Amino acid sequence: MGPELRRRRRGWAFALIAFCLAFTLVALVLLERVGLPRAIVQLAVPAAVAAMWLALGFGSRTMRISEFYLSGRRVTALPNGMAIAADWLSGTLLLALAGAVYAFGDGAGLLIAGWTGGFVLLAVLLAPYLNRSGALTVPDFLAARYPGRLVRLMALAVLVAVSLPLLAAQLAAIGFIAPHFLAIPAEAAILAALAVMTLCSLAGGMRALTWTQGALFLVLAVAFLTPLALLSMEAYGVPVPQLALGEALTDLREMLAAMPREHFPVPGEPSLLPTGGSGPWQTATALAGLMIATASLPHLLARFLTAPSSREARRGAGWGLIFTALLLSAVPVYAVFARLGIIGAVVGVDLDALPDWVTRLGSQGLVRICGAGAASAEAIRTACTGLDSYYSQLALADFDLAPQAVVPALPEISGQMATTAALLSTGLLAAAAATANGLLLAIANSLAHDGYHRTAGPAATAARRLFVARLMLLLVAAFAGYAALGGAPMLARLVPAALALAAAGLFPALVLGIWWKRTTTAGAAAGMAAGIAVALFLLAGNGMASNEMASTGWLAGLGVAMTDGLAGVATGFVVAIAASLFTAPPGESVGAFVEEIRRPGARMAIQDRAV
Amino acid sequence: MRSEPLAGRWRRTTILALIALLLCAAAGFTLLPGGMTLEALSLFPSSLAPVPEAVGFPLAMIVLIFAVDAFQARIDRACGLAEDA
Repeated sequence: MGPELRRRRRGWAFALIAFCLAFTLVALVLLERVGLPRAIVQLAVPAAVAAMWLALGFGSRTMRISEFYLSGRRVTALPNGMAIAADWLSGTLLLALAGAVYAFGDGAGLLIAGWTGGFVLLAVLLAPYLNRSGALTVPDFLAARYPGRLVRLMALAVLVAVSLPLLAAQLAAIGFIAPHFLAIPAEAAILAALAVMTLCSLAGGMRALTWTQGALFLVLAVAFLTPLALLSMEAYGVPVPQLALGEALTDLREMLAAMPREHFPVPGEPSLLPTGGSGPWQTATALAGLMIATASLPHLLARFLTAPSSREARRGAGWGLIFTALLLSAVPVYAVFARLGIIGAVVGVDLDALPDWVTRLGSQGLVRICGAGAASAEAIRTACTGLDSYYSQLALADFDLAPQAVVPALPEISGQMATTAALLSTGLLAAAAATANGLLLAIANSLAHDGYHRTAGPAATAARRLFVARLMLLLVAAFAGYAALGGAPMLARLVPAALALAAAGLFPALVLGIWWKRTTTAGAAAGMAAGIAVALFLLAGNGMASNEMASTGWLAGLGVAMTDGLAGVATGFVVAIAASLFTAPPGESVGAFVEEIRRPGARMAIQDRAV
Repeated sequence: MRSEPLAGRWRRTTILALIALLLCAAAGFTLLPGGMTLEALSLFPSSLAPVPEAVGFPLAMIVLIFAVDAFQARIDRACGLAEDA
């Protein structure tokens, strides 16, 4: 089948799926108006998205290694950008970032700047050259640049250590959203998401992942922006919510200015850098650490290996950032609209006249009023009458919404339809699941290629390699499920440490491998080991695990972890350079490899006859 | 002059310049009062003032990526290097 025909068929498939989804949503809106129960709407929307996911996954099934590992190296910049955005915009991140803006205000700009700056490092320093190498995985690239098994196995260990906590965190996010906002038990949601992503990955590997991530990104974008666009249109007459942020903030300031002082919440420390303050130095180091960590994430780097050329890889990073920024820029709007909605719905309202969503979310531990859980009207009255400063109408200071609930609760807070709320929650589930799927495949492919084929089974046939890759997928999915269902609850809390480890363990070896021919295998290995050791030592001293992953707590730990990671990166560079200068220069083949990956139009530096 | 070393030199220069730009932008974001926002430079009407806080930095980064892409492709072509198929 020619590329043009293939593209046309894929376009039709996408159009058909989009039409079916849109039809389902319109039908649900109409049925809801004539009395369809909320419970059915909450099941129908995620079921429709899961069906689309399975259809795309099985439609992309393959028995070819090049398709399974690299999607045939045919993924052009636009679809790759969507898949990159889906890989990066995780459910955990969207929940926590909106919660952080809601709770801390401006400080979250640091996170947006750090993460988006990381895309520039990726596009300029790494992506085009990784693509030119012809590597199947990130450890595969490092092993080609630094011959021998040592660096490959070290990189594989880092990849698994970094990706497993991130995977567990995504499953934890699914376990948070599904029971609270879709009335689906957490265990059932986690198992269903794992089953769908594993089945699709077993069928089509990276090929299936590319197209399902693209589709899931579209679902996320529609789901994430629709509630905001409707609210923005209704309140300000602007359908682009980002453009209404200024007016909404002005309204919020005016509302707060009109309130009596005692109605204000007690101000906390508005900082995402809890230890060491938020001075310029701490901000700068956290910012640099975030940029480097973003550029070092193995599942993100793996996406650039699927592009047909170095230029498409570079442009893929640009498109990825465009799609990412589209949603990231809407995150502060969620925070401001939620504040406005809460003030409008509960502040100054009599305790007996609070809207239903207060006790619904309160019964799930997501709303506290007067310092106690708002499980029922009786509980609220008891808690508030116990206060010295009791008054019958609620003040802003008395109301406490869990920050991680800001995004999924907004449709309910602002009185939108159940279909809109279910669509948003499903979009967040899609974000978590798409990232989890990327991580699952990155771990399994690396274990199969670097841990088995390149180490233990170099003579393995293509069929055997595919079998091992699929077996690894099953094993990693089983472990992730076990961890998410309570077997290893700590894993999901190690996300900040995992990001720091990615930066310290991979970034110096990758950058020096591309940009300094003199770097030797011993130098790279020593740099990786030293960087990891320093980062782990500092992380252990600062408390390696974050608070509950679904809350904003992990973002508070992120600033410190990124500073620790940056120290590891600096150590890694210094040790790698020093050790390289003290060892014999690498051979001519290494110099030729570096030349080839830098030259557009050259043949792939790594030749795998099965690919 | 058409040669690979020249393309390599240009590429390294471009990349160094971009990293310097990125560092300057990050430093501006970190050190300027009010952050690196167009609000700080009074370029936006007050009703849209907070928008650049969330959009400005990502937008600058997007422009940077596509600028380097166009520049590198031009250098490669000028130096006689074909883009890979």
